[in-house]
Amino acid sequence: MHEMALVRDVVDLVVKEAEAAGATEVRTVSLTIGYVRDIVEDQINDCFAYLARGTVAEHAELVIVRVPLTVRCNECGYVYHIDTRDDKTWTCRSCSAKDYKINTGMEFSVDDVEIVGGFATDVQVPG
Amino acid sequence: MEETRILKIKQEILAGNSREADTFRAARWAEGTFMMDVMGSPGAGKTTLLLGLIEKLRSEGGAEVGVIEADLASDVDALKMKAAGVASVELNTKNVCHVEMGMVEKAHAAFGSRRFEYLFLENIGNLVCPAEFDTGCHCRIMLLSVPEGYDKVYKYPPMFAVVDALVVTKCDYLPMNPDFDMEALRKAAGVLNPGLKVFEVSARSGEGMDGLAAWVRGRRVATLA
Repeated sequence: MHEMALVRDVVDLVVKEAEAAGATEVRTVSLTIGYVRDIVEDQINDCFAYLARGTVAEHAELVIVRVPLTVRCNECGYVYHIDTRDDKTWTCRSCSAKDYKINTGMEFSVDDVEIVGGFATDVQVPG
Repeated sequence: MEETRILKIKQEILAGNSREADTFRAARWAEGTFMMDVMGSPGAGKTTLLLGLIEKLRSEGGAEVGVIEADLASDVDALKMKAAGVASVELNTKNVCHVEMGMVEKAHAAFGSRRFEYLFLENIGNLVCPAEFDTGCHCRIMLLSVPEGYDKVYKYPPMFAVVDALVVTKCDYLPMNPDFDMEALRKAAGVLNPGLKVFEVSARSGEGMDGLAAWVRGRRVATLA
């Protein structure tokens, strides 16, 4: 239900970066969202379409990559997947310890923005 | 087909809110204020718990305590605090389901030049949205009351994952709730949050409140060290 506040941040960021690059249109926006984040993807798409109207991003397609919950073993550093409903997965596959920190699953980031138009910002000036 | 190019952004959402939260947190630390975010469902017992906790904190050396009461509307909770002699400010989010830094800064400014040793944010009654937003506190706790049931961890994972402590409230109702499986709750919460502290309390009877107050005092000392 708070997708609106999160997506408002996405739209502001995308529009700011696209306009700074002189884009005439945003084609796609890639997002990484961890599975632990309480996000409904349909809501994200609908909120984006609504909040981006009238901006260079109004027709952009969202490409959402979901990231699973993994943990890093505090004993041996091994990274493994955890299923919160299956206690057989709560043990390190490498050393059998049950002591870990959350590694992935909590992300919510804007990664790539595909734009049309604009100028290159990484021009190398010989000299 | 027009040529397109890729802008590499790689930025976390709510980075702006997080930056403001870091600034606010540092400012409170610099002035000796320990701030705690108190979250939980509507009716979990946040206000009652805070009143009991504050009484314990003030009983040992009269600590200066302030509370920011956040609700969609009304000042019901702020008035309860004032009646108990606790400095409080009401933060009405006007139907927004969570608290963000702009709101916290405004509410804090309403205290004027008053300084506190402990400043509590009683967050919106909501197990979902508040978990996503850093409110500039040094410590975050959540309440889960016995009547709500023990199976909430898998239904609301972000909340259980981001807090430092889970306070199981209304434990005086355990005899009437034989199905409440405390061990299952502790186990499930520990999967998502291995470092989580769990407290079993009843603000009404006083059970467990000394232990909670001691932990809060310890957290303040550790944070401001």
